[in-house]
Amino acid sequence: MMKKLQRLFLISVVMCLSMPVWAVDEQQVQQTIEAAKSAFNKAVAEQGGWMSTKKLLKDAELSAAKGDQQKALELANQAKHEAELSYAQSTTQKQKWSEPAYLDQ
Amino acid sequence: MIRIINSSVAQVAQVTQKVAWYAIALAVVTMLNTAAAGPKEDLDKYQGFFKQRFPELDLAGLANGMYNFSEDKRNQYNDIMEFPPYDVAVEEGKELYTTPFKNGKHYADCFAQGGEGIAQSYPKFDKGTGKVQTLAAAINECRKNNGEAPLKYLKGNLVKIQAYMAETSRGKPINIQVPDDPRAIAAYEEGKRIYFTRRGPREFACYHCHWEASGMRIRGNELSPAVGQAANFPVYRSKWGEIGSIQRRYIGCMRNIGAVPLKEQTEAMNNLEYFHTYLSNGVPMNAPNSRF
Repeated sequence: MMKKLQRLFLISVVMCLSMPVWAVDEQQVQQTIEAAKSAFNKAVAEQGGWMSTKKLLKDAELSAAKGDQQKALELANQAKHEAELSYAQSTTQKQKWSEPAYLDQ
Repeated sequence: MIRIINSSVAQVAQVTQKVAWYAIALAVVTMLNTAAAGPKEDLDKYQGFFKQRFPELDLAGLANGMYNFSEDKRNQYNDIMEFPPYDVAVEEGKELYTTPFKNGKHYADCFAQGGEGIAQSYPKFDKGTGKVQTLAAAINECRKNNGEAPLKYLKGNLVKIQAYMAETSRGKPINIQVPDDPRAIAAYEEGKRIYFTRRGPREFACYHCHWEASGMRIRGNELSPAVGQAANFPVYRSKWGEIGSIQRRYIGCMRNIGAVPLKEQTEAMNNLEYFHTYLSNGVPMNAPNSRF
């Protein structure tokens, strides 16, 4: 009886270890992609936005379509982070842009 | 004793009052100086920077851009110019320009002097709309007013028409006016802000390449000075294999620094062109021209 239980426990552990592929929720990926797109559009509306973010978004959608949800989520999060940085850059620059200091020397 | 104290207090009060008046006068003078800094003062300062940086080049010389800094490329350019690659576009532009619209009218009917020798004054501030109008937009407005569909802005027939119009202005000094109208000043100031704004993940602004790094190299290319650039557009670029507009070049520049480009003919983009062309005031037009 103990041996049977031990085997059952080992089988469960092995099964759990082979499960991370299913761990990422497809819906969560789509939500993150949408959030990244929204953040990107917000930056572009402020005359900001980076070309690399466009590529990340495209790659995230491609990975999701291929079924690699883990990679898609990573790329979408990276795109969202970049979009937020570019938004911060464009809004800050609107206030803090300046001519180069050497012009006044 | 009380009298002495009273007289000292009165003296201190007088001195304080004088100091206050001087402070107010100084503040007013400072404010007047600040208010006086406008486009004209900017131009003196900006062109002064390049005169100091490249004392051997006059305004026309600055317009030769990258070819000032590489003998090899200058020789290649001279070879190319034996048969200027934009000539076909100018010829086609002339034909398009002189062909009547369906209603029998011509482009020439839309412009002062029949459209000849006016390109050096664009972009223009339009008092009616309170906005900057580029030559490309004026051409499309002319089409619209005559019942024709607008043309695409960055390349193709519209740019060929621009090339023909620019050809009729060759040699005339660029003459962009920023009238004393708060809307014109605001447009100029927005263009200036965009020009000096850092964009993209590497935080580059236009001036990083075309002011402090002008005459230096980025990878295999020598960087042209900002003053004089606008005098060459529209331009036939070997990279494009055709003639293209100045806003097409801005879009390419913005992409090069990793930034999402502004869209052509938007208010922001037109204001950028307004400021950037104003920098070249006094530079003789040498458009269309050829670039790598």
